[in-house]
Amino acid sequence: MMPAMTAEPMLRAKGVNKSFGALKVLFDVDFHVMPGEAVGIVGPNGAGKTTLFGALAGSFPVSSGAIQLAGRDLSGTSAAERCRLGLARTHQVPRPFLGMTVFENVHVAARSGAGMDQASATATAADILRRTGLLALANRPAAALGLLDRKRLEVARALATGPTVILLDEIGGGLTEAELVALVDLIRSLQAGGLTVVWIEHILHALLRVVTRLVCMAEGRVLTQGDPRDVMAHPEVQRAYLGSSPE
Amino acid sequence: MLDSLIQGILLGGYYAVLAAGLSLMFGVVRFINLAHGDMAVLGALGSLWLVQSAGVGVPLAIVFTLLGMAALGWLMQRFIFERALAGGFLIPILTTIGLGAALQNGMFAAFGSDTKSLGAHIGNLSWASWELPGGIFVGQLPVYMFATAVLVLGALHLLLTRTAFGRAVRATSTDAEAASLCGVDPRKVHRWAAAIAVALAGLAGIFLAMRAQVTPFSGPMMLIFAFEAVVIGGIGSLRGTLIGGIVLGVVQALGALISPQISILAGHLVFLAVLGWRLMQVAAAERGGWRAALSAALNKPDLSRRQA
Repeated sequence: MMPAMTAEPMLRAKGVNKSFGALKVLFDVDFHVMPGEAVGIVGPNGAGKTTLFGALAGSFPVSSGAIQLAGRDLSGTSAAERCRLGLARTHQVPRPFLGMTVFENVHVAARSGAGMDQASATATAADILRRTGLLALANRPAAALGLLDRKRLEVARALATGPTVILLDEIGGGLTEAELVALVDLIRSLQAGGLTVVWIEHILHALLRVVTRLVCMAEGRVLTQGDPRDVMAHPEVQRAYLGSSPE
Repeated sequence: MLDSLIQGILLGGYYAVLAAGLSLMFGVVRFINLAHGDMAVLGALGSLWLVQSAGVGVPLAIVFTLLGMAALGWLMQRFIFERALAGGFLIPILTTIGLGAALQNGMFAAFGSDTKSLGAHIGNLSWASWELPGGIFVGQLPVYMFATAVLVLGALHLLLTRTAFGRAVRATSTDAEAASLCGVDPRKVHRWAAAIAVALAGLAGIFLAMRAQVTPFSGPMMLIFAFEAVVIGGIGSLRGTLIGGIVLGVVQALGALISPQISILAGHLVFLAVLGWRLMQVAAAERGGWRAALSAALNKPDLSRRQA
């Protein structure tokens, strides 16, 4: 179900280019996500997907092009400001604050990212830990968590910042089938609550249960985007996938 | 002996406050401030100027000095350290060495080279003492300083562990980029951490001015003591810093028992021993633990591992 053409995209990248020194990583990337929509990003390793997330979240400035959140130009805003504007991001390799407890990890995001006071940050952190299945581990140091729980914490911390858009970077990798089902249910429930989702994922069957549109990237460019079946049937997508690593 | 032990422990509070600022800057901002000792001297001479030339009472002078030093730390971070940090690891070292030299000579120009002390302005506190059973006299000033040091470091510990600001500081110190994605602005955290660190240097300077003489060139020695306390106690824990300060103070006091000239040397030697031990520990861990490292060093077959 596509929103009407007149509606404003929630998140939009316009002609985004990014070079690190002599290495050019993103070439004229154009894509948008409508409010409440769930969009998947696929593509072989090295396609620039994670770099695109870094550009969207403000981890580094883009070389040229623009990024807009709900029509607002984000150039010149720091990662922290974008977070407070409602743009949250998870990392492919989880980056918990190791010296702090699971609860503190989520609490700091609720306090600083969502700007909550002490009491509501505490309540929110507890609620999010329950929804992400981490409540029993709330008082453990984050350093004691295994990979799966670190991935959960990564999502919980992003949710605690009170986002309107969440960028999920390969949170499904390494999960069992049952855990994937739980993850898909969680993301669908978030989306049902109005959250806009952009999800980079290699596990297509999980991704396709959530997203209604796919963007396929290869070598720093958007190859094609649109209906998931059309995108996956696209000859260049087939070639990009089969050409790098057979799945 | 017992007397020296007590004096050393009390002296350790002063070293711990001095070291805590250095440790905080390194732990949170990842910035080694080689002008830390000179900033402490600035705090000492600043409070002296307030008392001697501006006619401010000692308690108020302490408050003004701490606020001024905190403001200085914030501004230094905002306008100097931030830029130095962006230039790689060498620039902060050069910047703060230069800053230290400028501070020393600036203070020399402003205050002259006379040694100065706050001791004359704090009534009988600089010599008053309590007599403990057993005929040991304990100076009141060192006791008050130690109590202040423990209170300040304890309050700082609570600030870091129990408050939203503290969590933001710890998050930034673990991973500044991940913290920024949680809505924490690392630059702001760094500025406030620098404000606290330089205020701690100022407090240490005030302590020094009360218990001893200060010259504009006292800073480098204070920096060395701060480094020694940090290394002995381990970076990143305020409790460790307090212990490091106490160990340094005790070793210096016990060294002075042997000969006054050995006092400071004894501190350096313990520092070197701890540093050497830490390095050997790292080296041993890389070789699979002490047993493996030792047997490799002794050229014997490694008994802890079987050949595959």
